[in-house]
Amino acid sequence: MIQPQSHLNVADNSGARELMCIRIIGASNRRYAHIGDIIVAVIKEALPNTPLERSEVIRAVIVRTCKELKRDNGMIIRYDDNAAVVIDQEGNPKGTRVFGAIARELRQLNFTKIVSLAPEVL
Amino acid sequence: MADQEKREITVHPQIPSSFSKCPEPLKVIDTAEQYKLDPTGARSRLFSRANPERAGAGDILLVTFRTGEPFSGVCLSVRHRGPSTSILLRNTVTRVGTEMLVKVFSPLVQSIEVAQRAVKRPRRARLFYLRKPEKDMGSVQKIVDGYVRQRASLVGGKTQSTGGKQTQGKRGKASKR
Repeated sequence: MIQPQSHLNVADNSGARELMCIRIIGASNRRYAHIGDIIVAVIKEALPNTPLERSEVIRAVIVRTCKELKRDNGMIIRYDDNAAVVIDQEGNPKGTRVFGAIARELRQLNFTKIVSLAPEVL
Repeated sequence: MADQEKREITVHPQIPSSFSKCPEPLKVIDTAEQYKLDPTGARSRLFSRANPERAGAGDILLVTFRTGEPFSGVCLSVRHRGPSTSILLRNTVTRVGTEMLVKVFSPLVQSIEVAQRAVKRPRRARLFYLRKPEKDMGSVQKIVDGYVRQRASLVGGKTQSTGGKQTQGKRGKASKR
């Protein structure tokens, strides 16, 4: 349940540390973003000497949410944090590594690069 | 008004109720469904309330899916609902707390094993307090790996992967309980 003003952790080594959602892409009238949705975000905190800076506007894909993700087979999965991976306009990750477990739903949404970089896919 | 004949009021006999035949039809359907999903009854027994040796909250369970991938974690709660009985497992996977709710009788579930019993019987049926950072058990991957190794040595088979490539649970309080 990510909405504008929600803060998210960054699950990659792009240099950003914390994001704030400012818009959900492809949703004119939708309230919340879930796993697999692309958001426009502002970098609230970034590591020094990295290409990304604080207050930069970027796109990111949500990979983990505290809100439960229901699957068609009856399984429910939830994580302890809200996290996103910084991507470019084509959907490729800006970083070269992905940290933490991510949801399998991203594979169907053509984020195969992120899924292959992830240490654990649940 | 006197010339009006006395009207015959037809009294229909009461339709026989089927209640006595089957007082709880949903229960019958549930039992049939559960038998279909679990013909041996092994899994029903593992979570049956009548079984004193049942798996429950506080136990560390290892679920293997049909696809071969495993998920293990501390059982926070068992939701007893006949064929849609489910368990909520919690583990720390690559430093991120993860919870998964698994339907016990799902055909996608190949096996459910108890890796470790709760050291002390918990006083609650639902251990949602384990979500609190100060109560979190951290990663239980080491315990599950130990269990799988022990099982493999008993069976004499190969050690199969339990999913934890990296056991980095820094908050490893597993032995504390």
